[in-house]
Amino acid sequence: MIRLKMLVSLWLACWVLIFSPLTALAATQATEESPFLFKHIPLRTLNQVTADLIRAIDNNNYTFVRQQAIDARLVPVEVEARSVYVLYFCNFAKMNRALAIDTRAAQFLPCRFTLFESDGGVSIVVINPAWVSLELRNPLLHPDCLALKRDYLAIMEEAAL
Amino acid sequence: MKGLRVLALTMALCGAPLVHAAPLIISKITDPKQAFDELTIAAANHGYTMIKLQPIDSAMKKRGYEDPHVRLFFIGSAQAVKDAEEQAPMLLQLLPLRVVMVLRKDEITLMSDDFEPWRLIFSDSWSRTLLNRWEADMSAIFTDFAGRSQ
Repeated sequence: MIRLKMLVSLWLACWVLIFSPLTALAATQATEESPFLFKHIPLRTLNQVTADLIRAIDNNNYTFVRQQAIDARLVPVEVEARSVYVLYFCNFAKMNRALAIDTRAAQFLPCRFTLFESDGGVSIVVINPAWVSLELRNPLLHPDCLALKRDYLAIMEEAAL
Repeated sequence: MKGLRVLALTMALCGAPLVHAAPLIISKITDPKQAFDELTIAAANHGYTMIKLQPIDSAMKKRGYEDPHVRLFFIGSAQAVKDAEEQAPMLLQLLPLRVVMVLRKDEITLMSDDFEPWRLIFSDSWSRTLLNRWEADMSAIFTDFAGRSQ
């Protein structure tokens, strides 16, 4: 019983000294990460930006998976939304690693860009994986998500060139 | 045992301010094919269409990686897209809704997105209404799925 109490005390001490500051740090970091990453590309059409993105995805060692209108398979093809498209892509090695760390990575993988076309051009929006990993509170997943965020930014920058 | 109860209570109290709403999760004993059919029916019962099955497990195995035992389902409704387009376009990021299926031997676990962090980000009444509705729909679909005979 005394040993159990010692273990409990030790656990509590660990909790207070180590885990509480870590979770508090994670909460602070979460507020520092924006939930979305944006890139606006002026004077280009949705088709042009899609082609540029697919090229940039390939150049950054990702595999293009598919593209679809936001309402694909929900409405007849002829009335699908022409101004909002979704583009899926993946790096299987990175996905393998992320899923091995935390199955919940499937909540944001495979990667997805959403493209909004307007008169002024095309906006690319993607959920920031670094924000997601902080929300999931898994510090092991976070470095991979920071790398994924850098890749997203690089792909969007390259597509905008 | 009293020590363990104290530990559990202390952990609960320490963790209380940090707790987030979890994603919806449901498990049952069935096989993947049956689960797909039952989820498709459950989704249809609540106005949603099965848009896409993404077999992550076979895609990874085909490329020489370890089987992650994960499949993805995308379910959507034209009304959900229309509502988001008109009221909160940034929420289109969450559509179609995603269901993660984890396969463990003969047990299937379904997991939805966690809507709570999004409610904190999108605090306007339009967005919250949509997020609450989608979460309620997903919950109803999961309950329907769980109640289907095996």
